[in-house]
Parts: sequence; structure tokens; C-alpha cells
Amino acid sequence: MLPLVRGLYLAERVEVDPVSRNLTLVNCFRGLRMRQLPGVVQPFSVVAYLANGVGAFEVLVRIDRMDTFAEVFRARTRLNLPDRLTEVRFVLQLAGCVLSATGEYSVSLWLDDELLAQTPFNVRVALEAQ
Amino acid sequence: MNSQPAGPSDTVFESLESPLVLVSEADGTLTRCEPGPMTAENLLRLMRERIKYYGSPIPDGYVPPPGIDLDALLKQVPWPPAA
Repeated sequence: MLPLVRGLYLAERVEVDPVSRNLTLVNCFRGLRMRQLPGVVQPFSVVAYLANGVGAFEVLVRIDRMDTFAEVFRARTRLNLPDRLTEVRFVLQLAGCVLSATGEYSVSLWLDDELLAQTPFNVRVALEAQ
Repeated sequence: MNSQPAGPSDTVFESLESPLVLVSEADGTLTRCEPGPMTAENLLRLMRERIKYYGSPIPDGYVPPPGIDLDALLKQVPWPPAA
């Protein structure tokens, strides 16, 4: 049974408290400013809170350009959800994503080829360092 | 038995009962893949999203991949906006 996604966030990094296992999402963002394009994005995290699902799934995360529909990033993993009553916090650390143009992008999360959630971000070229 | 209520500093925030799954390419749990073929379902999703940012569901001159009926998809997106 596919889970519900209670939230899909993009964050510069995620800190995990080693004792409490609490998450701290640092610098949740809606846009990226790159020094120049094309360029490799600094690693960032995609965070999803998954509930009401059970079973083993293949997870796909992809990034698409909204202007041309070109897919710029795709990665897969496996995920096991123990039972419907347990909320699972799912953190994907993405690195090596190359962006080549300014504009709007979409990050989407798929489980077993079903779209569960998507969230946008935009890309701009930064002005020279202040 | 202590009759005083606990103070704010006695509160402990924790998430010990919520499983945490961390995946990354660095630890081998996330596998980078080549881009896959565009499907009609995914194109429709992107078209709907695109309207929000670019005002139209497809870029000028867009040619869909073989096998995708673009006209049929365009009928499923709220565009052009009703007068």
C-alpha cells in the first residue's frame, strides 16, 4: 500500500540529533543561485515524511526542467515501510546534480512508478560576490 | 511524590519511534540513473505545472516524443484560461 506524503522539502542539509533522532532541516529553500551555468549544485537533501503505507517500494527521485521538460537528474533506491501506523522520515542526499539553465525546476518523488509528491525550485545566476 | 509541576526545561523532544531512512550515493544506497523516456503521464504533470511559471503548458515549437498524443494532453490542462 502506497504511503501518503505529509511533506516534501528541499534543504541545504539535514542534521540528525544522535540521541533524540530529531531532524533539523537547515536552509529549506525555494531557489538556487549559481555562480555560473552550467554548474554542479552543492549537495542538498530532499526530505519526505511518509505515512499510512506498508511494503517494499522502489523509489525514484527526479528533477525536471519546467521550461523544456528536460530531465536533469534521476536516482533510485529501495524503501521498506514497516506498517501503516508508523511515519517514516525519508531523507535523500543528492549530489552531483548539474544544471545548465536558469528557470523553474520540479523535484518529484515516485514510488513504484506512482507520483507521490513534487515541489518546485528556481535557478538563477548569482550576481558577483558582494 | 513531588507536588511541583515540571518546568519547561524538563521537556525532552525526541523522535525515537519514527524510523529515519537516510540514503545517498556516497553510502551506496542511492543509485544515479540515466534519464528515462518521457511518458504521457509525466508530460501531463509537467504541462500542468509549467502553466504556473511560464503561462503556457508547452514551450513554443515543442515536439512530443513519439507515441504521445500532444493534442489529447492539451485538452486535459486548464489552458488557455477561460475568458
